[in-house]
Amino acid sequence: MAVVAFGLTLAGGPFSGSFTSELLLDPAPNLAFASLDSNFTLNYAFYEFVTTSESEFYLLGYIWQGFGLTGRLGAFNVQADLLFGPSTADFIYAQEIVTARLAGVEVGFYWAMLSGAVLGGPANGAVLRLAGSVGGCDIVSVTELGARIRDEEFDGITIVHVDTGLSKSYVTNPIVATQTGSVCVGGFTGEKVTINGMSFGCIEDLSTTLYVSCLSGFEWVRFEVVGICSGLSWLSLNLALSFELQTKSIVATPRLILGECLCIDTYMEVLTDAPDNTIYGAFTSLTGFSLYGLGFTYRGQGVTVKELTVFDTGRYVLTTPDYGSVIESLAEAVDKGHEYFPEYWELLSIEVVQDGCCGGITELLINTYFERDSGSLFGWGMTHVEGTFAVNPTLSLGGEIEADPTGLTQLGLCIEVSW
Amino acid sequence: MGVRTRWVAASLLLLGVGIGLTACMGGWFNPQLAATLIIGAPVARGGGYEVLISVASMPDGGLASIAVDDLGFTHTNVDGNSVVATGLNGFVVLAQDFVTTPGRGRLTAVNAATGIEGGTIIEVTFTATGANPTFTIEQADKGKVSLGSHHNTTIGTWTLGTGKAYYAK
Repeated sequence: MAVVAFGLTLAGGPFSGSFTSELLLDPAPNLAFASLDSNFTLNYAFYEFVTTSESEFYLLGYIWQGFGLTGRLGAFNVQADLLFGPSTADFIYAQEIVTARLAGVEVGFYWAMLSGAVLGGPANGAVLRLAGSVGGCDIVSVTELGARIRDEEFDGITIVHVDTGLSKSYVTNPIVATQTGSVCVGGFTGEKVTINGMSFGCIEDLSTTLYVSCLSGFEWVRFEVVGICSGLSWLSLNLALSFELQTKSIVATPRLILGECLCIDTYMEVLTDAPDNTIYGAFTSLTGFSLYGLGFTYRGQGVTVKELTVFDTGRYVLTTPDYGSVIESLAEAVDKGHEYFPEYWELLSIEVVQDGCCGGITELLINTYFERDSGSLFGWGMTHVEGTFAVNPTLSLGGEIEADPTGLTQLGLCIEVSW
Repeated sequence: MGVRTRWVAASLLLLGVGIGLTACMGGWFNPQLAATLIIGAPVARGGGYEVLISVASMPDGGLASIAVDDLGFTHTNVDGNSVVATGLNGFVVLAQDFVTTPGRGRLTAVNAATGIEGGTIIEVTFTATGANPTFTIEQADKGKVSLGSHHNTTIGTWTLGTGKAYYAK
């Protein structure tokens, strides 16, 4: 497929693509070269397909080379991905996804292979996903044949370059625990069935998920109900009843129902005497409420002003702009791999997005963070300024500056060419 | 009837694709899921260098603590006074020393919030005193490293690095 994709891109035709390069300089002591990250993307469209070539360079290293193919073949939607590591001359990963809607049933076939160049590999496997509705219930069946796909229970796969930390993520994960020599290798490894929208007694929306694996047999079955009324207008409960092979657990998570008050968002939670603030395990009583954050957002005429404050910095954090600049629990940020600022408790952000004078988009982002124990004016912790100026519809120039109480910490220049 | 025929044909096609692709690969593989501590190679950054310490396939809720005893780290062509270890993804470096014994070092780091099953945990930055600096934990010093899980258990079975340039999580 790599050869075909490359050949097609060279064969002429409707090309599109972009080249982005970002140079970072370390201002101290003398504007030393810090890093150079470049991406080159080339697309080629033919019939109902688009092939894509993505090259990523870091410093002087050629880290990733990816090829992609998306399109339709009759009733089938097709997606294929290939990843190579040019710096080590390795094939890394391949994935194919074929989906279609047949007789009211969504059918998805996922296949992936991870090479032995990656720790954990070599590995391969496939997944068959069927989804449809019967009698008002939504049913999803996921049959695992040595792989899993990204959904509510499982992550996809993220492949990380050890030295630089750069990563690539895909939907189909062929790393599934099996036992050497068992019948699980090379065949069925798991089955997950989810049914949503069931009615049972007075419950109108019951969700249940059953998961069995070849390795362990029955893994778990879970029943979930969301939004149980507590009798109090400001409090509801989410209930999750789980059965595992040797354990049963029922977890009720209290949720506050907050009304519309001013334009300031409040981030609150109910506290219990259980360590994880659930009504389970060590729980004996509700112990109080915690206001762990405040937020304010104004949008108008291309200008967005946002202010976020985190009070409980031990359990909640501000995510970086790449991850939305939102308040998120520390455990969730770590679990999902989101980047965050552990040291800052407040963000004041101003973002301006306007049409460029000569086509394209001109953007300016100013983020100022505050730190509890910085000792500087107003507890100022760091200011990050970045802007993109569209020279014409195909060429944009950008820059970024970062400063903290120690002085200027980062300077960056960026160029993006698209066609 | 026509719909059913098409459905059966499509199912057979999908099955055929799967079997065909698997056959092309020469069979099925059994993935290796050994808990691993990975020390990256030094990468030039700014006027100095950066080393990423990562983990993969950590059991029991993931890695939550790491202690590298005295003389655990080995480094060459590195200015020991310039070495700074910083926690990533919730890890906090509680103590570090790369000065007392030239060319060697130690540190302790914990993650009080959660465990890391796979990902970077510590970033080490330093300036070099010569060409081609190295910063690693030798296989002979593996016994000087203690790993603890999120479930407050000792992770006793693990491997140190693998020489592979990529890991999956």
